[in-house]
Amino acid sequence: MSAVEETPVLIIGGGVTGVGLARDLALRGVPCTIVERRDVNSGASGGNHGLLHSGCRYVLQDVETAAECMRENRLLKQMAAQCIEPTGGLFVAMNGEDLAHAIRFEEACGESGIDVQKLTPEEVLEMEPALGAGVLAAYLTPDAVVDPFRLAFENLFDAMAHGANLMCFSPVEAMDVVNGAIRDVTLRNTATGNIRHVRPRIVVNAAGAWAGKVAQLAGLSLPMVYSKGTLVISHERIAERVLHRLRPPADGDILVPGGTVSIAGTSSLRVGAPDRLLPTTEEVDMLVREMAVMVPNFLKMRLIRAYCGVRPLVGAENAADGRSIRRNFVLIDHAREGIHNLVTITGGKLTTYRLMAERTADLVCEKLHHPVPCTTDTVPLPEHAACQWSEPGRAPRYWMKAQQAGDLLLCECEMVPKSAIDCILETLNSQHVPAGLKAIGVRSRIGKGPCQGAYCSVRIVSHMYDRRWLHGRQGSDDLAAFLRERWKGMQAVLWGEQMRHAELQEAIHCGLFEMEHPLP
Amino acid sequence: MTTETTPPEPYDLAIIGTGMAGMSAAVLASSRGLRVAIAGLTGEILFSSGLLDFLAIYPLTAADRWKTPWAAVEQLVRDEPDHPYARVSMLQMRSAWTQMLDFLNQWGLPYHRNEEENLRIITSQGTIKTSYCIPITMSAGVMGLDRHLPCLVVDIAGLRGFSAAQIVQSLRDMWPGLRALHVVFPETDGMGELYPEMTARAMENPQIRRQLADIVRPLIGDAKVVGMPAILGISDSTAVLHDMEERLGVPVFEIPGIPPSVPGIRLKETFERALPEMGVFAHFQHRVFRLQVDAVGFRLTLGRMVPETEIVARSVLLATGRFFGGGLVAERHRVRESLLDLPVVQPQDRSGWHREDFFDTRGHPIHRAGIDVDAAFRPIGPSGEVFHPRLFAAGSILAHQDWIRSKSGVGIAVCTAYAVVDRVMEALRLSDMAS
Repeated sequence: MSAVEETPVLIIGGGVTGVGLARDLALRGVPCTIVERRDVNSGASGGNHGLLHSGCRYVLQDVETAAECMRENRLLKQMAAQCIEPTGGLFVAMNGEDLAHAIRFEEACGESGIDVQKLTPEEVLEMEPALGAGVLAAYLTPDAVVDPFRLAFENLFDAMAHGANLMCFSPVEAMDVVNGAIRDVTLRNTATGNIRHVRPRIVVNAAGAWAGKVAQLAGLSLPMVYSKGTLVISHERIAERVLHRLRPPADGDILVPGGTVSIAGTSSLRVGAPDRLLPTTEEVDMLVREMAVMVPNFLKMRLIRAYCGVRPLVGAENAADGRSIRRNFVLIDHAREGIHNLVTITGGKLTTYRLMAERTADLVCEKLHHPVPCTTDTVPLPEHAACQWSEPGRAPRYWMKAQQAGDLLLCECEMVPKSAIDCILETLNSQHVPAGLKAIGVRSRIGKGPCQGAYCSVRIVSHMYDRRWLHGRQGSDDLAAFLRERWKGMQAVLWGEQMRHAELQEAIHCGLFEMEHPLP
Repeated sequence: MTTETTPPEPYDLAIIGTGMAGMSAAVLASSRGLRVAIAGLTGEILFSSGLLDFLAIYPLTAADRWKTPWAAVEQLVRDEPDHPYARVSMLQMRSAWTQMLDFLNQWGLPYHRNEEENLRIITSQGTIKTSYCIPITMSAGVMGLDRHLPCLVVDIAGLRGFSAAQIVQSLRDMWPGLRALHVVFPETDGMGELYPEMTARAMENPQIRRQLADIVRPLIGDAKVVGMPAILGISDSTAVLHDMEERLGVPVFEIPGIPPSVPGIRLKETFERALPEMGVFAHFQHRVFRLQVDAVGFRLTLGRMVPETEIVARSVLLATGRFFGGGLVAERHRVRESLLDLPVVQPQDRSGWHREDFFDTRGHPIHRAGIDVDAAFRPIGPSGEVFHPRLFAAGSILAHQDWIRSKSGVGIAVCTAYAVVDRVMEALRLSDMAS
């Protein structure tokens, strides 16, 4: 089957940049279509800390990025308040570290206009008892926590409410370039196998770590460097605020709270390609060791999952003169290479996604001769009911308050009720996402608690059959795919209590259900 | 802690662990006249599926399930001389199964088997499970699947994780005669959650059974057999089954599902009831805090939360299970045996514990870790030295087996327990002769 559709703007990549751009354009009255090869936030947008930078982390190396982060931090706390927990942050120098670095840090924050407050070690311990006794110097900063899934979905719903489209599981297969412009983009739906053709006026490559591959389809070369970052999630929330080691950025120096858990990261490893990466036991051990310097109890913490993301860094130019690659964003108008309707936006940070979208939309509007200014800095992001389930601790509050008869909990670890699952299932259709556990997992907390989906997955699959979302053997395939996905994050942190859970999970799904050898 | 004025009389055998291996050893040893004590937390046996596997998949990567477990065991024993089955004779295995099934039958929990062959039944996931012995309450399902009889699958509003529609849809190509029925359980509003255990206890009430049968009977149609979740009573499931069959006019079977489930509760309650009556000194819900070697043999310190009491025993069986049971503890850098820190056979480091794919058919190397034993099931050190001549180990804590993937959990528990009891008899005789 094949169909041809026209769209003014085709955005390749359903990460937070792509959906942020779709909203920005939609609010300016420019219809657009987002195509995503998997599901929303399946790249770096879903594989990060959820840290809303204050800019402090960059004040000593990269003043420009620091300033961007500072501005966006202040703005997003107003414009996307529902996605942000304004925790504050602490930059902590530990005994044995260079005090001069701390003093330079304080000065640089002052020069950049970021409000920081110097604290005594006693004050810091009172605020964050998890820090232990080795604090040398500490500063309170305006860092905060953002739920990257809620942020992406709120942007997406608002964009769609203003006319944007989303096609998930639709990788770009080919781009037809005629007379210096992309005329036709071929998409293949990986769920149905259907081929679609889209005729765009402008194409925006927002494919993150895969931007180089997309550029290649248009016959361009975009050299990229990939940095793998691994993070671990603890069973409990260890600190109230974001904790940073106050030293030159290095491995394992950030601990970010998120609802009822904490996330520690990251490692940084250059890799050759952005696909098929798994957190390793070595990376997890390194994170545990480094984190224990700042939070001594971390050695005994129960970790429930590890995951990794890929930071896309556009390489060659900066690397040529020997400077380290900066972590700001890159907006490229490929007109200079002879393709007039292709723009690439990549690099950058979750914190600056809105600014990246704004700058990209400015360029797109210029190309479309559509002089309407950006409004995402003044129009708050509306709240949509279907977007609330990704926040840790949100579902239990809802469930306790609502107490509806018959609204059974399908996920007990994270207390996700049937009604939340039904609400999410209803939205999947409009996003061209087939009903399934992974898709529900992206949009809620299912499978993210201590049992890592061993129980809730079974209950939700049964429920989907009862509601006729699943037919034939789809459920077994879906369950297997979901458990495989969860496993990627489990295998590197299996010791203590988690090992017990993993053994039980295997006893259920392999011992009893014999899923490792599916029926022919 | 109590101070003993006279030395307490030693038990012949103290069993540490109340899973299938420990419980079976207690049954088998006491029936042979030994003075037996058993201690452990019985919670984990609740997670048993209630199915008694022997061996269905070997080698692990071969998808074909063995029809005759005995032939599978023979091949396994030839290929893997370190496997626990290789230390049990076929004769011992046959006696082990017969005695355990007799025991269960005698205590009101009859099981069904076809002595030479494995059985196939459907699960709540719409998959097919191969096992050796199944509760009698599941036996009509074997015939139903085997002959693809027209079958009505009933699910109950509020029992999570069991959908008749899912079972029917998942198996429709293979068993087209399946039909789904969703019912509201008698005296419930169909809105709230039902727990399998409470539902099973409610089924012990004839009024409830009559009402449920009245709902289902008019909808049986051409069905020759009816399948339902495992809720047919706890303590007298056979009577509940037969009553339902009589009321519905067709054979009825239970479909096993995600644990903890009723068949596991039945096993737990049967052992807990039977062992004290058989004269076993049962310290259920007690953990063993310390095990010391002394002149008579062993001194065990037991208690619920804190050490409360001491017992002495001439021999000890360690049947503490793996990670879930608590016999093995996974630390970040190694796996350790929890009570005595016995040497554990294990991969070099954590990166070798698991494979990248959860469903890798080779299984995960960590699940073959465990305690190495000699031919008499006595834990040994790296150079083969026996830890103590009368310290034994049985069940899933043993190394060189992957009970989950080979579908052999209860088989390994029961057969090694049987072999250990033989060895205990021998060791005690030797020790008597020596004194």
